[in-house]
Amino acid sequence: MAVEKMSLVTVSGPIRRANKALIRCCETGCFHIEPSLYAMTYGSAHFKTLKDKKNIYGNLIKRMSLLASGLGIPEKNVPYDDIQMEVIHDFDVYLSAIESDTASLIETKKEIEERIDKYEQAMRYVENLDLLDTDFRNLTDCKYVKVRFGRLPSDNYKKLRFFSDKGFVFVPLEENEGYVWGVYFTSYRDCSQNDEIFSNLYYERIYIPDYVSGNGQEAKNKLNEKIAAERKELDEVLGKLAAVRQREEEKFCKVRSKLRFLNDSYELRSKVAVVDNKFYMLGFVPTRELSSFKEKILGVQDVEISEQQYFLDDKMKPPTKLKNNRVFKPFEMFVTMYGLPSYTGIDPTSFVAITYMLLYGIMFGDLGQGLVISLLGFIFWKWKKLKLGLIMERIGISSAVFGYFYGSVFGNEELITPFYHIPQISEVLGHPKNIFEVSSYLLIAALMIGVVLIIITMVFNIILSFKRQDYASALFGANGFAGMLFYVSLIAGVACQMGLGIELMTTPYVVCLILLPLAVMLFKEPLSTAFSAKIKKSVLSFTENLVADNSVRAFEQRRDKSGAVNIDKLADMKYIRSVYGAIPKKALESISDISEKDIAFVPISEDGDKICGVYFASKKEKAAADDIFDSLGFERRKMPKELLEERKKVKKSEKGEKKSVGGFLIEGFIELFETCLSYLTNTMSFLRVGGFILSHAGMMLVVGALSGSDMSASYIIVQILGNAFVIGMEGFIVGIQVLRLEFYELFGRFYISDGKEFTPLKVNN
Amino acid sequence: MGEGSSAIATKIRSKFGKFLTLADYKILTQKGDINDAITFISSLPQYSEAFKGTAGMALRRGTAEEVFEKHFYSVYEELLNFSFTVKEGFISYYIKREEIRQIINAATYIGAGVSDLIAYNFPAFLVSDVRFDVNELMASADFRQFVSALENTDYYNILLPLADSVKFPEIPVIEKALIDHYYTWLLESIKNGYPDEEQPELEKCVRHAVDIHNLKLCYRLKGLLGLSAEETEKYIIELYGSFKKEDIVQLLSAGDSKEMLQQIVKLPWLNVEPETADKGFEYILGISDYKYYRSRLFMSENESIVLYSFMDLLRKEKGNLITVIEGIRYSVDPSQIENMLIIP
Repeated sequence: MAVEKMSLVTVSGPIRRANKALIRCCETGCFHIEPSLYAMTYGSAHFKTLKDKKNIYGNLIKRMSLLASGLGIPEKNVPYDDIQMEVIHDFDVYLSAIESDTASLIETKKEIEERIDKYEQAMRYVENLDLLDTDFRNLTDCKYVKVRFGRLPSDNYKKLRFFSDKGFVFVPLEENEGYVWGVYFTSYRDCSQNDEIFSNLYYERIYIPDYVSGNGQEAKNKLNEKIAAERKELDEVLGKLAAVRQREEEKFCKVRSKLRFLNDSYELRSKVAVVDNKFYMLGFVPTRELSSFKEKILGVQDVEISEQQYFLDDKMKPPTKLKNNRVFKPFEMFVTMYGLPSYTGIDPTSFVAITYMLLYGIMFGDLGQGLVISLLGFIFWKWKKLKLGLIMERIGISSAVFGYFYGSVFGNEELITPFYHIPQISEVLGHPKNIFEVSSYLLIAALMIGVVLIIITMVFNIILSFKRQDYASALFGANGFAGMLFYVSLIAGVACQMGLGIELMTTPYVVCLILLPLAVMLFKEPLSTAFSAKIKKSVLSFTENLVADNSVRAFEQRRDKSGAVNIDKLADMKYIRSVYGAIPKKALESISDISEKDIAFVPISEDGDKICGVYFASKKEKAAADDIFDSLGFERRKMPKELLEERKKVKKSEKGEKKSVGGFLIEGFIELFETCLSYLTNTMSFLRVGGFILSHAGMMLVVGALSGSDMSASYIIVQILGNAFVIGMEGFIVGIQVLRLEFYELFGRFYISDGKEFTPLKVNN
Repeated sequence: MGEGSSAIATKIRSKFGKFLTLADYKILTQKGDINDAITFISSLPQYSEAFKGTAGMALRRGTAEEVFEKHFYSVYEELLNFSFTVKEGFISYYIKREEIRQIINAATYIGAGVSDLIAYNFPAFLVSDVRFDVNELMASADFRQFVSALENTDYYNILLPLADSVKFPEIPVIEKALIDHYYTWLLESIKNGYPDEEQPELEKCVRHAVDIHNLKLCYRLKGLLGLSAEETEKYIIELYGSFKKEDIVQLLSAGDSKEMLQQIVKLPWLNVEPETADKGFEYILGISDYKYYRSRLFMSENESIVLYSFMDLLRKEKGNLITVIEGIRYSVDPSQIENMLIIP
């Protein structure tokens, strides 16, 4: 259960080395860069980022894309170590040379393709009219009869009979996809009237191009000939282009990869801060890789690395990189799927790995099928690099182990002796013939597994809550000490009474171990307020909401609304620090990166070239906020009276909003009822563990019954198909069910996923 | 009720379960334009097939209505073929009603000098089933020719007494004659086609439809168009159900539409809350009708009533969808559109 330890480092050096240092950082693959704003807090307020010009590689990339599409070179990233081109001019010369060889060919290819498109479009029309046995030209050239090709909705075709006296003839040729394709003939005189009728019936006219001649079939043949001729010409051009491609492809791909790398690394320059011709990059490196990182970076001339001190609660949040052994590592996928733990949090991967393998094995225990799943997992991993493949390998083995225990090999329970046929166990279980006769024991065992896992997660929650200094959750919460005491006492009481016949549920037992914890959970809110106030009073000084309310009111009354930084955040932010003072107008404009943090600045008035206002910061950001504003030249001043004036009034109104005792009790009882219900449902949820054992045995019984007992071709086919079906369907469903148990019944009790992912700096994503 | 009947009723009720919910309408009302709205509707499983051929078309309200009508007919046909062995009589009401609607439309178009619209707006599903010559109807220059075009149908004898001159009578007169005929035909079909024990429920259902029709007439002709009580009474269909003649007389004695509305919400058979008076007549009528047919759909053991109720509820859904489409077209606030929807 470990999270990789991180070191905070600053990479700095002369600005001319910035690009090389940035690229080298990417190459290390272990540098998680933080926004330039943080780098700035270690330098001066007058900083700018390295990316101050538009991307210089954009045009070259565009030219390469055009050439690649013209030559038909697919996208791929290849090593480019032998490419010596460094500056834009080198790339330009290279591209110009290829362009001069291929420009006219690419243009010709484009023209031919357009012509083919055109003919194919005409072909689509003609194909729907190929039953026409008259020359298209004869029809379109008629002087006194107008001919219109097209299609109309089938519904409206039926309505044509209502216009039988209108002087037109419609010849339907084909019907498909809700349309009737055809042609109508109308006299020159009635043309506009009939065009209107057809238009009102949603007739979609198509225009037969001049080059289409002959009857339907002939026109189709001629078009086919034209398309074939064009394709032949296209093949010739493609042949010439292929020769160029063959000659250039390898180098072209390398140059493109390098260019893309340079382009992408250029994009990263916005994360580099520049102060006084020196660049600064701040980021996290896994501590165990720090020495190799330093070695690589210091290879760049004039570049320095310094380690920084950081405080887990106050400064920027370190990223989380999970660290697990080879067996458990694949299960990190599930943890990441749910959400990463914070840097100071607990990594539940090993817990997930153990419980997942255990539950899966119990629910889907079959020696043969387990080994098949494991083998499939191995193939998926080797062949497609599917991470799920590694998990399949492990759960397959677990399934095989439990399968051995159940005595099941591809559903056959006669090859190995199952556990319930071992004499000593069989004696205890009452000599069962098959697994269905021990179903009640299985279900009880499943419930016991559930109880144990739930208690373990409660213990985790208590430990973690103490670690987070969330004493209320640790002591009074449903998953805290009170909840655990209630749950364990109730389960023990019921189990002793019903299972062993021991009268445990005596009055003192019920009052002290069941009712008292319930009362504690009911009064969690007032208890935790009193408790946390006592603890926190000496540690933190709280800033009243009043300051925020008054500041925002004062800001809204100002005519000039500029200078507000992330004021919208105030509503959601749990600010615990508010500092009044003045900041230079220019400095305020330069902190756009602050949007990532729980910091807000509310300007209230102007004082010459300074803006007076209040900045608010959350607990975790307060030190960073102080650093940022200090470095921006923020001059602290005494909080004006008007921002604190209405304190009494506001407090009164707040009091008025407090819940009544009745309301509190009703709400509390409902919540308590819900909590108790959740204990019951969460525990019962584990019944599925036993249920799936029986369901697996049932399904394999069906496969056995379908295949019969005589060894024949049909027996083999049914066994193979049946086993494949069970592995595919049940194996998949059990996987999902176990994940559900993990996420819903277990994770929900102790795990908080508020971490940020460790994302090493890289290009060519 | 046999097993077959039970199966069709269950199938129909399960189809009702797929009706759009308020949550769906809320999503729909948020759509930026009609095309987005149609795309959403066509993404719903129950309408995906209906809107299949419209991909890429800029749909107007008229086209959307056509699509719905065609879809409803295919649903009706499917349910009819699913288990009804006898496909004539009462259960063929759908075709009969459409024919009458088309005759009234034809009279209106000819009167307005746009006879071509008869053909354009004629439902495609009816083209092969219609029992009169639409071309002849379109070509009729006067009312006698119009009636002649219907010679081989039962409508001929109904409209012939009105053809004492070549001039077209007023549309409400034609409408009254045809609708009266329609409901009379329905009641006769029930008498001739169903066992005695099933007849009362079916008859009650038809008379409810007559009541709703009469109520509409009273409110629209007297309350909105300002016709006198005597004039209005002329158009009343005298096949009363719960809305008796004396109730009609009392309602027509009201001074204005507002007063009428106050009386309407108090009619016990309408089963609406008095507060709904603020929402207008169409809403009151829609909600009442919806509740009535929904209760028939679930309570009735008669498969014909279940189908009849379901088709009516389907029309209510169409009404709601068209309300939303029109609301979006005219940029009406989504909450306002929601208020207009007929969802009890």
